[in-house]
Amino acid sequence: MLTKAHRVYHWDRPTNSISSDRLDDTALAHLARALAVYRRRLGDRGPDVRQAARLALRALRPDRAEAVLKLLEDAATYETPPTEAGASPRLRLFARAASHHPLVRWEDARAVVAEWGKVEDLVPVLDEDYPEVHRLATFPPDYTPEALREEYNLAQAEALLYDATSLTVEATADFKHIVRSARLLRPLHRIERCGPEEYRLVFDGPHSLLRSTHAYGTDVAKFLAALVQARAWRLRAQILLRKGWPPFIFSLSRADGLRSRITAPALFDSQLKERFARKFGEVRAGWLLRREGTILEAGERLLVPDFVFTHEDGTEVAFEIVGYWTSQYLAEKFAKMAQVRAPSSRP
Amino acid sequence: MIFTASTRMALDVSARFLIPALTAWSSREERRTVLGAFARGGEIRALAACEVLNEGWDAPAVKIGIVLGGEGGTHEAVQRLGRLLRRSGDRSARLYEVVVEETPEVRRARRRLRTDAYQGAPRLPLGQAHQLDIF
Repeated sequence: MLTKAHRVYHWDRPTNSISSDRLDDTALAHLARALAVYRRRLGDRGPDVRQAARLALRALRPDRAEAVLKLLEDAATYETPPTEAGASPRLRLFARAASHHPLVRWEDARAVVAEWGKVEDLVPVLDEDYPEVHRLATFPPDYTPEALREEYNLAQAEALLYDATSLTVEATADFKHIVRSARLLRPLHRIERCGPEEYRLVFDGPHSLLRSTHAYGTDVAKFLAALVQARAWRLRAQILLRKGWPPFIFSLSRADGLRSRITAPALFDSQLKERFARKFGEVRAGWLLRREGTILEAGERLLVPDFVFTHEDGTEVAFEIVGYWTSQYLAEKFAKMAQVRAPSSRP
Repeated sequence: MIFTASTRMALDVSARFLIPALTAWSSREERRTVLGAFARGGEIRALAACEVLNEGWDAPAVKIGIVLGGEGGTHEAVQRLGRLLRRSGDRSARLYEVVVEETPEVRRARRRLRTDAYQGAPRLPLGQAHQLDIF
């Protein structure tokens, strides 16, 4: 995940639009070299690894290279050496050099170090307990340049959403998956039906987490990572880069080709539902069957029934399949059903 | 007092000049020990730090500051200057800023010199400052 400091974006003042940065095919060779650095330098100190990776990425723009480096660091793990001695040895060393302070010339430094012992013994004393210089322990061997590029493209879009003041998602499929992910951004401000099989989820207003602090950046990022795996969606966000500036419009859709590591929603989440859909067929006796075809509001919660039957005369019947059940489960289900109402329609 | 632009730079200065460095990773105990010895004067007479000592720290005895690697903005510069301007008898303070030519540091340093905090302070023009051997 990137921080605000790592984001790269492009904005267009006349149209008030903004887009997150993406890497094209020309970057793949550089990414491959940086990945090779991390695989080759297991056991090396962090600063050396990062410096070598920076060199491998030197053909990229520096701001892009730093963002890529952050993603590589996220994938790497560093080993923590035992630090029982902590800072004491180096404080003793500095105390010994104090008579030469404030400026310890080379020859004086050499003399102090010679009294101390060998130079190679000195290095760990100086900074080995700092996480900054820990040694690289593991790095995923199967991390490909293409996967790193996808990670970068998604992370840049996520980072732009840290400054979103409102977020609208329109979807025509995978409602259950989207609604489940949208819970990360609760409270959902409103949901509207804008077509027979199209819903609009709007996150804004005074209670929206988007209006709150950046601590929710992670939730926004997780939501986008899940959303991009759905089959048909569009996102539109208002981005306020700086107070007093007019907001920019950030648009994304399935066509942008963003991908994440989150598992894409399966067409059916159980064999029973799949068999039912197959046996019924798409249309039978004037009824059209759609999987997850509607979103219902049940109090403050959203409900996506497994199927919706739509009759030629417009009648809609929501249909939920209960597999394994207990009486308590059924009681809770019925209580929730009693609160159900259909979202308002707004084209 | 040496203010650096990054943790790495603070550690490098510490290793080269055998002076303590305080960073965000320093333990509370190390911080307390170093700042105590530094504030008393004599025991430790130079200290490198990244951002951790920009604010909320008081050592009136410290009268010389050196900024390496440029400064993020005017706020940061003013805070660092503030560390040196604590009253300590009639001693005056000096802030040296190492500005690397042909980098954005030059523009930032010029802009900063126009702010209120630096008005009235005697200073060397940028063109002459590079001839100064501070050591």
